[in-house]
Amino acid sequence: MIGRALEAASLAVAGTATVAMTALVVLAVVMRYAVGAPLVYSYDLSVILFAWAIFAGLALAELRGSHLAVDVIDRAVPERVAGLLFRTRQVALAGLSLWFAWLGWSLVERAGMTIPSLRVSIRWLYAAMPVGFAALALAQLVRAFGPVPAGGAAAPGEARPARGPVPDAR
Amino acid sequence: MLLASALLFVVLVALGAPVALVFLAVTGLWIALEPAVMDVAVAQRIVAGTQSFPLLAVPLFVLAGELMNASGITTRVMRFALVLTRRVSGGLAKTNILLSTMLSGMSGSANGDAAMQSRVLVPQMAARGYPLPFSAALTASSALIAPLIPPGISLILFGFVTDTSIGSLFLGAVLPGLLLTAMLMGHVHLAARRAGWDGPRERTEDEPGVGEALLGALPAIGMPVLIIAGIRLGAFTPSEAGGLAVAYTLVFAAVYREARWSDLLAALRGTVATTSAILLVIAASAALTWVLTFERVPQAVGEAMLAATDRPVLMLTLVSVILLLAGMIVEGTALILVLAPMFMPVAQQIGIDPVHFGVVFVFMIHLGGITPPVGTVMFTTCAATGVPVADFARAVAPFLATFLATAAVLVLVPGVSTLLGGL
Repeated sequence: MIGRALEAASLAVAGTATVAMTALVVLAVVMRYAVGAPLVYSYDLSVILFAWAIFAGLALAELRGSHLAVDVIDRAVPERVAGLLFRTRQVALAGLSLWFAWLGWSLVERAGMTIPSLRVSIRWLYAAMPVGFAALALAQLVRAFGPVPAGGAAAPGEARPARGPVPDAR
Repeated sequence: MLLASALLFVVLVALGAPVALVFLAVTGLWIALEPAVMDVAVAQRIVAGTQSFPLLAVPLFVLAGELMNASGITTRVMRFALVLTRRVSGGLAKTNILLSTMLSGMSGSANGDAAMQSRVLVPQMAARGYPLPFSAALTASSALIAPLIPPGISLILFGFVTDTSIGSLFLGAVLPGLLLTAMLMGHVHLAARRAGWDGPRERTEDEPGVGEALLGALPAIGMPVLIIAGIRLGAFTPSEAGGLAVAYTLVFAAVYREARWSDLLAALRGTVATTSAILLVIAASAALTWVLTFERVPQAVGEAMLAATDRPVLMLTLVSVILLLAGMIVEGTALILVLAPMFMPVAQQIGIDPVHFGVVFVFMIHLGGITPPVGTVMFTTCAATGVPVADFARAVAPFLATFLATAAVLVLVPGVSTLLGGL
């Protein structure tokens, strides 16, 4: 339940940032060539959106098992040991994520600079880190108490079925 | 301190913690024990690690590849590949290779390519009489073409961390990618002839002609050409090329009208997860390498390598062996981010061309991805095809000989990488 909501929230923020960033990059090219009026703020704004796409997406990546790990040990030990190892590891990693969320928050509190081209506080950028790591910690805990993934923690996240009709090979 | 870091690193990786979080844990150890390392400065490094316009190319090209699968372009390219290989023996196996080559302009990652083909082609290969482990091994092998033909995520990352022109790397890797295609085609041809799999066949009635099939495949094949031309002519940066690739794919999705909204959302979800996973490694390695420079680790590594040899060919061979062994255990992205910045100054000092070095580097780390005990592409293929890892390992062994022969050519003949890369 929490996992579902977290996944939706993570996708909403990171997905919106990704779409906005893509549109901004294309728009910047169009403005430069077609209109002849380059967007001065496009560079700064697109990398801030990028940071939000990355950090807000951490929870989604965790829930989908996309984070890159070496999972030899999960495959080598008996199933019950692997399950215990998985849950222990998830809880420990959640602690690490929370610590980095706190570090990120300290950074937000201490930052005072303004980004010149956008005239906004740099806190808008730095805030992505504590938010993202806090959500990551929550996602790690959700998985810690959920089902143990088959074949280790890093289930091949990119193994998605091809969409669309497939021509029959004769 | 350094020993403690190394120990923590090895233990956490072995226990299965994600590589990015292992980087953060090691960095955390330094924050806790070394007064000179300020915690807020580390946090700032992590965020700063993501603040780079060239890195935007990563999510943009991932999104373009995801959208392409949803748009129906993939299906058309496959039809073309099937038509091309109809009259030769081992046709479907060769389709597998050609499909990887032609689609690599859209899917920059080996893993995405392997996942797609495992589902689409392997069942058909099994129906045509190819052994399942062979089909899986071939799918994983041909997936290694994808990172070499532009745009490749690995090449973008390599260019980013070593300050090498991404445009030159893209162009330089084209011939090596085509060389690998040719080597694999030869390999499959001999294997199919010897075993008598999948002989030549006649054209069936509802199959399109070569011209018609080519027309359908043109959008995908034209993609790398447009990207390279645009970047090399200075019309746009690699990141902007990524944005335009997304727009380009969306146009075809709109024209073909095969993608549903749910497909587009799935493409976005996949892009977010992949991007976050890759960029967390980058952000964390930015913090870790910053801490490591306190201990002058990169310099020490460089000096040790130079002490071993100062001959370019031997150095490239040494680096290749290190990367192959490391790639068998650690995921390639992490290797690029940590090892490429350490190795690059050494390569330049003894006169190895940066593009040549980059191509060899990217090729070798991907080779580690299809070899046991750990390989992302191997696991993806085995999971998608249901082939046990042990059977896969036996079937992939003959392919490794072909790969090592290709690697030898890449190491010994710099021209393969620099001929176009120098343009």
